[in-house]
Amino acid sequence: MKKAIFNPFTYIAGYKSLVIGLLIILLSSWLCYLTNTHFDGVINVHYGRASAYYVFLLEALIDLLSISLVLYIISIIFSKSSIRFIDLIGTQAFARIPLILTPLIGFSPTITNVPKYFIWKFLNLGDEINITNSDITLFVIFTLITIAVIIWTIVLMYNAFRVSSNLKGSKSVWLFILGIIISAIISQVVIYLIFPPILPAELMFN
Amino acid sequence: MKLPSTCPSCNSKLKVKSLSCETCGTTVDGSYEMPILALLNEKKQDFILEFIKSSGSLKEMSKHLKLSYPTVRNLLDEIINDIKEIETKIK
Repeated sequence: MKKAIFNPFTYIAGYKSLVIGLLIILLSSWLCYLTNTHFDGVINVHYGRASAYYVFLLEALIDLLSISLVLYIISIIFSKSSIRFIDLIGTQAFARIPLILTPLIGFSPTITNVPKYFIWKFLNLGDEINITNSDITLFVIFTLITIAVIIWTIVLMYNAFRVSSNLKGSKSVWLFILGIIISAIISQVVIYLIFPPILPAELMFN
Repeated sequence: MKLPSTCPSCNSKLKVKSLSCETCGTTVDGSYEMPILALLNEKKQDFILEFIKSSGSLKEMSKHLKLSYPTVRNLLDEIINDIKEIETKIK
Protein backbone atom coordinates (compact mmCIF):
# COMPACT_ATOMS: atom_id res chain seq x y z
CA MET A 1 0.00 0.00 0.00
CA LYS A 2 2.81 2.42 1.01
CA LYS A 3 4.63 1.56 -2.22
CA ALA A 4 1.50 2.18 -4.31
CA ILE A 5 1.10 5.64 -2.73
CA PHE A 6 4.72 6.80 -2.75
CA ASN A 7 6.50 4.68 -5.39
CA PRO A 8 4.15 3.14 -7.96
CA PHE A 9 6.96 3.37 -10.53
CA THR A 10 8.22 -0.09 -9.64
CA TYR A 11 5.13 -1.26 -11.50
CA ILE A 12 4.29 1.53 -13.94
CA ALA A 13 6.42 3.69 -16.26
CA GLY A 14 6.81 4.58 -19.94
CA TYR A 15 3.85 5.15 -22.29
CA LYS A 16 1.28 3.70 -19.88
CA SER A 17 2.13 6.19 -17.12
CA LEU A 18 2.40 9.03 -19.66
CA VAL A 19 -1.11 8.41 -21.04
CA ILE A 20 -2.64 8.18 -17.54
CA GLY A 21 -0.67 11.26 -16.39
CA LEU A 22 -1.73 13.31 -19.44
CA LEU A 23 -5.40 12.36 -19.00
CA ILE A 24 -5.23 13.51 -15.38
CA ILE A 25 -3.46 16.74 -16.48
CA LEU A 26 -6.31 17.39 -19.00
CA LEU A 27 -8.89 16.88 -16.27
CA SER A 28 -7.04 18.84 -13.58
CA SER A 29 -6.48 21.72 -16.05
CA TRP A 30 -10.26 21.81 -16.51
CA LEU A 31 -10.75 21.94 -12.72
CA CYS A 32 -8.06 24.66 -12.58
CA TYR A 33 -10.01 26.61 -15.22
CA LEU A 34 -13.20 26.35 -13.15
CA THR A 35 -11.48 27.40 -9.91
CA ASN A 36 -8.78 29.77 -11.29
CA THR A 37 -5.96 27.62 -9.89
CA HIS A 38 -2.61 28.24 -11.60
CA PHE A 39 0.30 25.77 -11.65
CA ASP A 40 2.61 28.59 -12.71
CA GLY A 41 5.84 26.72 -11.94
CA VAL A 42 6.97 23.12 -11.45
CA ILE A 43 5.88 23.08 -7.77
CA ASN A 44 3.87 26.32 -7.63
CA VAL A 45 0.14 26.57 -6.93
CA HIS A 46 -1.62 29.95 -6.94
CA TYR A 47 -5.34 30.69 -6.67
CA GLY A 48 -6.90 33.76 -8.21
CA ARG A 49 -6.81 35.06 -11.78
CA ALA A 50 -9.39 33.88 -14.34
CA SER A 51 -7.93 32.78 -17.70
CA ALA A 52 -8.84 30.70 -20.75
CA TYR A 53 -8.68 26.87 -20.48
CA TYR A 54 -5.62 26.64 -22.73
CA VAL A 55 -3.63 28.83 -20.28
CA PHE A 56 -4.11 26.29 -17.46
CA LEU A 57 -3.34 23.37 -19.79
CA LEU A 58 -0.20 25.05 -21.18
CA GLU A 59 1.03 25.88 -17.67
CA ALA A 60 0.74 22.21 -16.66
CA LEU A 61 2.45 21.02 -19.88
CA ILE A 62 5.29 23.57 -19.52
CA ASP A 63 5.83 22.35 -15.94
CA LEU A 64 5.91 18.71 -17.08
CA LEU A 65 8.28 19.36 -20.00
CA SER A 66 10.64 21.52 -17.91
CA ILE A 67 11.09 18.96 -15.13
CA SER A 68 11.31 16.01 -17.55
CA LEU A 69 13.91 17.61 -19.83
CA VAL A 70 16.08 18.87 -16.95
CA LEU A 71 16.01 15.51 -15.14
CA TYR A 72 16.69 13.69 -18.44
CA ILE A 73 19.81 15.78 -19.08
CA ILE A 74 20.97 15.25 -15.46
CA SER A 75 20.37 11.48 -15.82
CA ILE A 76 22.33 11.26 -19.07
CA ILE A 77 25.28 13.07 -17.45
CA PHE A 78 25.34 11.28 -14.07
CA SER A 79 23.80 7.83 -14.59
CA LYS A 80 25.70 4.84 -15.93
CA SER A 81 22.44 3.20 -16.97
CA SER A 82 20.74 3.55 -20.36
CA ILE A 83 17.97 6.09 -19.78
CA ARG A 84 14.77 6.41 -21.85
CA PHE A 85 13.11 9.84 -22.08
CA ILE A 86 9.70 8.17 -22.21
CA ASP A 87 10.29 6.73 -18.72
CA LEU A 88 11.25 10.13 -17.31
CA ILE A 89 8.37 12.08 -18.84
CA GLY A 90 5.88 9.23 -18.25
CA THR A 91 6.69 8.84 -14.56
CA GLN A 92 6.88 12.62 -14.02
CA ALA A 93 3.40 12.99 -15.62
CA PHE A 94 2.09 10.23 -13.34
CA ALA A 95 3.76 11.85 -10.30
CA ARG A 96 1.65 14.98 -10.82
CA ILE A 97 -1.63 13.10 -10.24
CA PRO A 98 -2.04 14.28 -6.57
CA LEU A 99 -2.05 17.90 -7.79
CA ILE A 100 -5.60 17.28 -9.04
CA LEU A 101 -6.68 17.74 -5.39
CA THR A 102 -5.50 21.37 -5.25
CA PRO A 103 -8.01 22.92 -7.71
CA LEU A 104 -10.80 21.18 -5.76
CA ILE A 105 -9.87 23.42 -2.80
CA GLY A 106 -10.33 26.41 -5.12
CA PHE A 107 -14.10 25.68 -5.25
CA SER A 108 -14.32 27.21 -1.75
CA PRO A 109 -14.42 31.05 -1.85
CA THR A 110 -12.46 31.05 1.45
CA ILE A 111 -9.18 30.31 -0.35
CA THR A 112 -9.33 33.71 -2.15
CA ASN A 113 -11.45 35.70 0.34
CA VAL A 114 -8.96 35.43 3.24
CA PRO A 115 -5.95 36.81 1.25
CA LYS A 116 -8.29 39.50 -0.22
CA TYR A 117 -9.27 40.48 3.34
CA PHE A 118 -5.62 40.85 4.47
CA ILE A 119 -4.68 42.81 1.33
CA TRP A 120 -7.67 45.14 1.91
CA LYS A 121 -6.91 45.52 5.64
CA PHE A 122 -3.13 45.99 5.55
CA LEU A 123 -2.47 47.35 2.03
CA ASN A 124 -5.80 49.18 1.49
CA LEU A 125 -6.21 47.50 -1.90
CA GLY A 126 -9.48 46.18 -3.35
CA ASP A 127 -13.03 46.27 -1.96
CA GLU A 128 -13.91 45.98 1.72
CA ILE A 129 -14.46 42.37 2.71
CA ASN A 130 -15.44 40.69 5.97
CA ILE A 131 -14.42 37.24 7.09
CA THR A 132 -15.24 35.08 10.13
CA ASN A 133 -13.02 32.99 12.42
CA SER A 134 -14.28 29.84 10.70
CA ASP A 135 -13.01 31.30 7.39
CA ILE A 136 -9.54 31.64 8.92
CA THR A 137 -9.68 28.06 10.31
CA LEU A 138 -10.83 26.71 6.95
CA PHE A 139 -8.10 28.70 5.16
CA VAL A 140 -5.43 27.19 7.46
CA ILE A 141 -6.80 23.68 6.88
CA PHE A 142 -6.86 24.21 3.09
CA THR A 143 -3.30 25.59 3.17
CA LEU A 144 -2.09 22.55 5.14
CA ILE A 145 -3.85 20.20 2.68
CA THR A 146 -2.21 22.03 -0.26
CA ILE A 147 1.23 21.75 1.39
CA ALA A 148 0.66 18.02 2.07
CA VAL A 149 -0.36 17.45 -1.56
CA ILE A 150 2.75 19.30 -2.81
CA ILE A 151 5.00 17.24 -0.49
CA TRP A 152 3.34 14.02 -1.70
CA THR A 153 3.87 15.14 -5.31
CA ILE A 154 7.56 15.93 -4.65
CA VAL A 155 8.09 12.48 -3.07
CA LEU A 156 6.48 10.89 -6.14
CA MET A 157 8.60 13.06 -8.48
CA TYR A 158 11.76 12.02 -6.62
CA ASN A 159 10.89 8.30 -6.78
CA ALA A 160 10.00 8.68 -10.46
CA PHE A 161 13.44 10.22 -11.08
CA ARG A 162 15.23 7.57 -8.97
CA VAL A 163 13.60 4.63 -10.78
CA SER A 164 13.92 6.15 -14.28
CA SER A 165 17.55 7.22 -13.90
CA ASN A 166 18.82 4.35 -11.70
CA LEU A 167 20.59 6.89 -9.46
CA LYS A 168 20.82 5.97 -5.80
CA GLY A 169 21.60 7.37 -2.34
CA SER A 170 22.51 10.96 -1.53
CA LYS A 171 23.66 11.54 -5.13
CA SER A 172 20.08 11.03 -6.36
CA VAL A 173 18.72 13.40 -3.68
CA TRP A 174 21.13 16.26 -4.50
CA LEU A 175 20.69 15.85 -8.25
CA PHE A 176 16.90 15.84 -7.84
CA ILE A 177 17.02 19.05 -5.76
CA LEU A 178 19.24 20.62 -8.43
CA GLY A 179 16.80 19.48 -11.12
CA ILE A 180 13.81 20.92 -9.24
CA ILE A 181 15.53 24.30 -8.80
CA ILE A 182 16.62 24.55 -12.47
CA SER A 183 13.25 23.39 -13.84
CA ALA A 184 11.35 25.70 -11.46
CA ILE A 185 13.32 28.67 -12.83
CA ILE A 186 12.88 27.53 -16.46
CA SER A 187 9.13 26.88 -16.12
CA GLN A 188 8.46 30.21 -14.38
CA VAL A 189 10.48 32.15 -16.95
CA VAL A 190 8.74 30.38 -19.87
CA ILE A 191 5.27 30.92 -18.36
CA TYR A 192 6.22 34.57 -17.64
CA LEU A 193 7.30 35.04 -21.26
CA ILE A 194 4.24 33.33 -22.82
CA PHE A 195 1.61 34.89 -20.56
CA PRO A 196 1.51 38.38 -19.03
CA PRO A 197 3.23 38.68 -15.61
CA ILE A 198 1.07 37.39 -12.77
CA LEU A 199 1.64 39.79 -9.89
CA PRO A 200 -0.01 39.07 -6.53
CA ALA A 201 -2.37 42.05 -6.80
CA GLU A 202 -3.41 40.97 -10.30
CA LEU A 203 -4.00 37.45 -9.03
CA MET A 204 -6.47 38.77 -6.52
CA PHE A 205 -8.40 41.39 -8.43
CA ASN A 206 -8.44 40.48 -12.14
CA MET B 1 19.06 -28.54 -2.81
CA LYS B 2 20.55 -25.04 -3.11
CA LEU B 3 24.27 -24.85 -4.02
CA PRO B 4 26.07 -22.77 -1.36
CA SER B 5 28.58 -20.23 -2.69
CA THR B 6 29.93 -18.81 0.58
CA CYS B 7 31.28 -20.46 3.72
CA PRO B 8 28.60 -20.60 6.44
CA SER B 9 31.35 -20.20 9.04
CA CYS B 10 33.55 -17.31 7.81
CA ASN B 11 31.58 -16.10 4.74
CA SER B 12 34.55 -16.67 2.37
CA LYS B 13 33.98 -17.79 -1.21
CA LEU B 14 33.70 -21.58 -1.53
CA LYS B 15 35.47 -23.75 -4.15
CA VAL B 16 34.38 -27.05 -5.65
CA LYS B 17 36.47 -29.87 -4.13
CA SER B 18 34.83 -32.96 -5.48
CA LEU B 19 32.62 -34.04 -8.40
CA SER B 20 31.17 -37.48 -8.83
CA CYS B 21 29.48 -39.53 -11.61
CA GLU B 22 26.16 -40.96 -10.42
CA THR B 23 26.30 -43.71 -13.12
CA CYS B 24 29.69 -45.35 -12.45
CA GLY B 25 30.62 -43.77 -9.12
CA THR B 26 33.85 -42.15 -10.37
CA THR B 27 34.93 -39.24 -8.18
CA VAL B 28 37.11 -36.34 -9.35
CA ASP B 29 38.89 -34.38 -6.63
CA GLY B 30 40.51 -30.97 -7.05
CA SER B 31 40.06 -27.30 -6.28
CA TYR B 32 37.79 -25.79 -8.89
CA GLU B 33 36.52 -22.20 -9.08
CA MET B 34 32.74 -21.85 -8.93
CA PRO B 35 31.19 -20.45 -12.14
CA ILE B 36 30.50 -16.70 -11.81
CA LEU B 37 26.73 -17.17 -12.24
CA ALA B 38 26.68 -19.67 -9.35
CA LEU B 39 28.13 -16.96 -7.10
CA LEU B 40 25.07 -14.74 -7.59
CA ASN B 41 22.14 -15.16 -5.22
CA GLU B 42 19.21 -17.39 -6.22
CA LYS B 43 16.93 -14.45 -7.10
CA LYS B 44 19.50 -13.03 -9.51
CA GLN B 45 20.16 -16.45 -11.05
CA ASP B 46 16.41 -16.82 -11.68
CA PHE B 47 16.36 -13.35 -13.25
CA ILE B 48 19.15 -14.33 -15.67
CA LEU B 49 17.30 -17.52 -16.65
CA GLU B 50 14.10 -15.56 -17.30
CA PHE B 51 16.07 -12.95 -19.23
CA ILE B 52 17.51 -15.61 -21.54
CA LYS B 53 14.11 -17.27 -21.97
CA SER B 54 12.71 -13.82 -22.94
CA SER B 55 15.38 -13.61 -25.69
CA GLY B 56 17.05 -10.78 -23.79
CA SER B 57 14.01 -8.54 -24.13
CA LEU B 58 13.53 -6.22 -21.13
CA LYS B 59 10.02 -5.40 -22.40
CA GLU B 60 9.08 -9.09 -22.29
CA MET B 61 10.68 -9.39 -18.87
CA SER B 62 8.70 -6.45 -17.50
CA LYS B 63 5.46 -8.04 -18.79
CA HIS B 64 6.37 -11.40 -17.30
CA LEU B 65 7.50 -10.03 -13.91
CA LYS B 66 4.72 -7.41 -13.83
CA LEU B 67 7.31 -4.70 -13.11
CA SER B 68 7.98 -1.45 -14.96
CA TYR B 69 10.64 -1.36 -17.71
CA PRO B 70 13.10 0.85 -15.76
CA THR B 71 12.74 -1.36 -12.66
CA VAL B 72 13.70 -4.44 -14.72
CA ARG B 73 16.56 -2.54 -16.37
CA ASN B 74 17.78 -1.44 -12.91
CA LEU B 75 17.74 -5.09 -11.74
CA LEU B 76 19.81 -6.05 -14.79
CA ASP B 77 22.25 -3.19 -14.10
CA GLU B 78 22.60 -4.45 -10.53
CA ILE B 79 23.45 -7.97 -11.77
CA ILE B 80 25.98 -6.54 -14.28
CA ASN B 81 27.66 -4.63 -11.42
CA ASP B 82 27.73 -7.78 -9.25
CA ILE B 83 29.33 -9.79 -12.07
CA LYS B 84 31.95 -7.08 -12.64
CA GLU B 85 32.76 -7.05 -8.90
CA ILE B 86 33.11 -10.86 -8.82
CA GLU B 87 35.36 -10.77 -11.91
CA THR B 88 37.56 -8.14 -10.26
CA LYS B 89 37.83 -10.25 -7.07
CA ILE B 90 38.73 -13.38 -9.07
CA LYS B 91 41.47 -11.52 -10.99
